Amino acid sequence: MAVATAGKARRSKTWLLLVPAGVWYLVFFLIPMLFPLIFSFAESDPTGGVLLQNFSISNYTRFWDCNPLLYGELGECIYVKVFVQTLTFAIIGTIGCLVIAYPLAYFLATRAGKWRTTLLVLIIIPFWTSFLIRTYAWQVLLADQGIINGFLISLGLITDNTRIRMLDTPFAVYLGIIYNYLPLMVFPLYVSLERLDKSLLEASKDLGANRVSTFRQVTLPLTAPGLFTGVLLTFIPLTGEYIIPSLLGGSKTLLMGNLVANQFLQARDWSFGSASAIVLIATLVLFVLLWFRASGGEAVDAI
Amino acid sequence: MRINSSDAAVNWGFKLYSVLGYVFLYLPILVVVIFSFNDSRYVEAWAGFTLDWYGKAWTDPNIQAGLRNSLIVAPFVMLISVVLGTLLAIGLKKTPGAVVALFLAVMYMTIVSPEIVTGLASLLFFVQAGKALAIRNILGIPTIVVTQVVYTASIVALIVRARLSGMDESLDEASADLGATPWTTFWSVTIPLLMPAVISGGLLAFTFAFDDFVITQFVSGPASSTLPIRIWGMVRFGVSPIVNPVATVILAFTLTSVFLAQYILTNENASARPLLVWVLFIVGVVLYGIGPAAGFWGGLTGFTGVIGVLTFLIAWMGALIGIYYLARRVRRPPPSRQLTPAT
Repeated sequence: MAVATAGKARRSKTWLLLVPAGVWYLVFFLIPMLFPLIFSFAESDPTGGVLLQNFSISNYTRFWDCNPLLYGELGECIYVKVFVQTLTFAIIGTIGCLVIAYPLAYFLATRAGKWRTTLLVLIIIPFWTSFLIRTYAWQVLLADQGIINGFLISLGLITDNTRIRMLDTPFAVYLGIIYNYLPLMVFPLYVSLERLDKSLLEASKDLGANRVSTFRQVTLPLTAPGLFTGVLLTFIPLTGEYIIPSLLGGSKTLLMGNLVANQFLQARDWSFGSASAIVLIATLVLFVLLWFRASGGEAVDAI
Repeated sequence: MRINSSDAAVNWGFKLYSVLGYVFLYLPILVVVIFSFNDSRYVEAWAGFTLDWYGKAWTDPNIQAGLRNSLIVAPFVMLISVVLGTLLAIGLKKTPGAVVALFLAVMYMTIVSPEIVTGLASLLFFVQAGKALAIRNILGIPTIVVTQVVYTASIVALIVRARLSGMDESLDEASADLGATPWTTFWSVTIPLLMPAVISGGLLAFTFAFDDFVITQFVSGPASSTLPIRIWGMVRFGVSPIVNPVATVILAFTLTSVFLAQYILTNENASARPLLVWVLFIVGVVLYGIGPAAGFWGGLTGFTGVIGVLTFLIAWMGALIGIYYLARRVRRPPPSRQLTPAT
């Protein structure tokens, strides 16, 4: 009797618990997300901000203004180039992360024994430290006057005039991407691999399959949810990445994140910045929809 | 579960790969820490041990201002997101699936969205709100706190939710059977059991708020630059020796915090006390940073320099320990409910 009454009283009040967070999300997240959309169709105010008049798609035509025949010529298709470059880095970066993270996750899930939890925690920890500091640290390592060059000089492998150029290159950006996003990719992979029934692997071996076949036909399909989640968690923030190309990529690497930031913080062209951001968001939404379709909803279970 | 590998070489291959992986993950961090003690402007080579850079960082006005703002923002973010996130997680446990799915979708959106998107959306929102409410210079510490909470509340909610899902429902029922109201059950049963998750979530919220850069850059005003923004200004154009000691101290704090939080979260039987002590230590640091230290930076209050910091922290920990033992003495056991004896 007491349980039933207490249950009823509980049920009628629990929705109250959701109100504070719900209101917060609505006012400070969902509603603000509408603003770039609206502003992207408006006109920028030369004195700062946006004039909510003369609604048009001029910002979008400006972004996509690109004559394919002139692509690559000086100044042509400037924004499309940034968009393409961003996708390139994001796709290759995600694949790179996946390839490097998988063996690590596999080792942790299957062969690490009692050290498993500690080692996993050790991988997650750097992820929670300052993104900025972690990226800056690679500057220290990769700079022409940096530690790696200094170390190689002290070993006599190179001289003062033949320092290896590592910073301000796409290589540095990829390195930064993989370094910063590795924990994000390892974790879902690990969760999926850990849940894998190991006896299935033994059964596969008993049936005569070699290691590669077992991996391809047993492990990979069964741990697909982890893979889908990892790719999702990595690719989405990666497309908006801004710190890594700034600190490690130099002036040659301009990604969508930098473009949007410049429009807002320096060029003060907020309506165009909003349009660029909407292009980014639309790309992401498209990717997520396609990805969920491809995974058949399995990715959700993995979370 | 170990897999018997007939091929030991594969095992060694995995181990080697993993070792390389961990070296890769921690090398940059180690490098920054080591070279914060380097007696040279340059990081090319080791030139001897020194604490000079720490002294220079401590007295740099840019860093002081940034640290002060960060120490104001982070505790607020932590407190608000802990309250919002915990209530959300508990509420979600008892609501129908459709509502849960909606909230989870929004929560994941807040976490996964590129920070630049949330940052600029919030900027536009605040500027328009400022115009509508006729507030000039709306961007400042409140806007930073509010925007960061969106992200950290989701983190706390997910952590508490994970803990809740592993909790024994029968405890709630037992409490109700013994005559407790839902309110009493909430405070005497649910919250204490959730404490490790709540504190860990709060700690992670604190570290995120302290370290955040992109969102803060968009929604902060010129007077409310946090420490990461000051650091950005310094590293934008290359290695700066003053950043290394700052980075080292930040890393020391966040690594300890996160390690403790993760340790408590992954070990069911771990006591939350070390975590609590660490959190209170951080509270002391925050109070010092915005209190006596502010005086130190503007003038002299007595708690100056390294000796001053140590004195303050020892006094603070001493006070906490004293309060703890006093509380244990004074606290009365709650009145026991007499069950009606069966006749």
